Amino acid sequence: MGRNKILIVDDEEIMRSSLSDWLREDGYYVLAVEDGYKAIEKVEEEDWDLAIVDLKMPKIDGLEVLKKISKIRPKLPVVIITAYATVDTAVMAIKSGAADYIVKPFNPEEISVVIAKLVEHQRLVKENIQLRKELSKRFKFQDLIGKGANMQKLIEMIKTVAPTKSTILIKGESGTGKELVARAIHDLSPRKKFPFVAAACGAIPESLLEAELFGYEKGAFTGAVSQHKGRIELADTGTLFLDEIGDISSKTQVDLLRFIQEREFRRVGGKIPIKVDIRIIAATNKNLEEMISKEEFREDLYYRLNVITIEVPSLRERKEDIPILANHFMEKFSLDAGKKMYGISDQAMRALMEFSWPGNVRQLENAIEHAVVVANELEIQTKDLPKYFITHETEQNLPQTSQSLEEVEKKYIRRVLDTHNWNIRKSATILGINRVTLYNKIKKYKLKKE
Amino acid sequence: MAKKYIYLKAIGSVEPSILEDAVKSLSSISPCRIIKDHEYPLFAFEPKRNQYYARKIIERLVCGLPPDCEKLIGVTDIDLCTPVLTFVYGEAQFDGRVALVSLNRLRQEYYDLPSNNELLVERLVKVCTHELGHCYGLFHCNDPKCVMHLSNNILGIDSKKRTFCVRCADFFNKRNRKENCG
Repeated sequence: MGRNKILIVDDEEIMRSSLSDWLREDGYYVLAVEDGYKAIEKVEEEDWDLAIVDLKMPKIDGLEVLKKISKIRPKLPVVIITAYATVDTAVMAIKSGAADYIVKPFNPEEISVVIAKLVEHQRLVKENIQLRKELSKRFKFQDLIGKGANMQKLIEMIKTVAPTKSTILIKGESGTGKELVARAIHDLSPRKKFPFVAAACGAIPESLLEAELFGYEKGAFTGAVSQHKGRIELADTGTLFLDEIGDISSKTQVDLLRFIQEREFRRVGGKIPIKVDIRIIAATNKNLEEMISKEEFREDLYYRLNVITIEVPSLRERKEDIPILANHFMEKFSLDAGKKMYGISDQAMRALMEFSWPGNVRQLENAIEHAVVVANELEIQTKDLPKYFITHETEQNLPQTSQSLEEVEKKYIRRVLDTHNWNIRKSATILGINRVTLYNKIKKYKLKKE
Repeated sequence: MAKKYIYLKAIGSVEPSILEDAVKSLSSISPCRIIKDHEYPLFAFEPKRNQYYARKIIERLVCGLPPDCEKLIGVTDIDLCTPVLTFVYGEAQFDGRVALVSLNRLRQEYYDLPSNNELLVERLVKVCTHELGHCYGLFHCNDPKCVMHLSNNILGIDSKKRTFCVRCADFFNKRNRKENCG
């Protein structure tokens, strides 16, 4: 655990240095500034555990500083100190949200207790926030739903590889639940109490990806107003999930390879190498071997990532799981919408079973959410399913059996795009894929707006 | 390489026997020597508080270090304070060469109790060792028995040992060896 950080604001140099020296002996990291504006700037830039603010200062007084700090960081405790104590200012300080009000010079015993208590309280507040975050994301094995042989094989594989330290590459189409698999591995591993940090490499613009992964120092580039920890640093002692790894540029591939080999990195604009202990799980919906042969992906990076491979089956490969998944989503969304729903009609279920699901489980989830919202009966009917679904599957517009899956997918994507005037966000939602995947498919099939 | 000493410097009037007894104990850490300055540090007196600013005295002590001095601890009978604290038992330059200790609040008489020189020496050794620890870069320690544990009252000083815990001792010895090797 790092040292607790205390910010001191006092216009008198002797007070600043005397209090700083005393707190440093107690092991705190201390920064002392001479006026309120500088203090506000520091609070905006960095996270602190406690602020000690003098009441009477020339440029901006302590109560005004307290109010501004409380707006920026409402949970940061602020102690007001003064050599001119009055009942009025004490009441005002506490009413304005001060954690305590102490008169200078301090009795060493009193100030020690106040500071230790507030710092400990702040530690517990931070820990509580972190634990809540973790808890809300905590993996439940029932998130990976499916009783079919393919799914059971996948679950067994997860259980086998989770306790190891090995790097894992998860392969699977869009919407198959690769992140859920990564979370399951993390939550079944000895690192489960530590962070799981995901980075959707394909969704982050190339120009920002380096800073997002490795972090940056203040002033490293225009707009870097404060130091920023990257995803790699945040994942220290835990797991880093690199989603859509096939979408990263060759420069980022080199940076990642170096990091994986040396297990240390430098923040952008930073000089000091930072060592981290993380497990890496990468995922892709692309054929990396093909990309290697086209020199679009580094072979050395591929072998570093591909220590263990896990293939997540598409929904087409586990159609037997559609009823259980559809019912699970129906229960989830009807609960969210406050609607009483009892099931899915036989006809609607048949339609679901016969569909090709290019967007996999994510598309099925979206379809059921749509159905729950529009349904006005206790069971989901075929008419409640999304329009694209009905026109394609139940109005006998099924593709000819001589067509390949790629041809069907190409035609289907074009139709959804045309129907929605090439609105990418809307089309991606209907197809059950993310926007990056849709852009990639448009590029792959050379589709153009006519 | 010339041998270096920890100096105990009496400031004002301090009973020689107290310093001599303290040196016997402190010699187990490093060889010690005693020097005397009978002048009171009036430049550091704060009339409003009727106390002396510890830092001002330390700043003056830094200017007159003997050539063979490794660290110097000023020992005085006057009551010490800092601008932010109502009193201090001692003050040190963190990671520096000089510290200052007051006997004033270590005496039983301060608490209206009968004089006890043995206890006074015991307390002086603890505060000197604590401040010396700061001079060697040691922070306060969480172990309540360790001499580097923060003591804000006399009971706190009496309840801890005069020695470092294992962790602080390890740090202290490494730093001590490093500084002595130049």
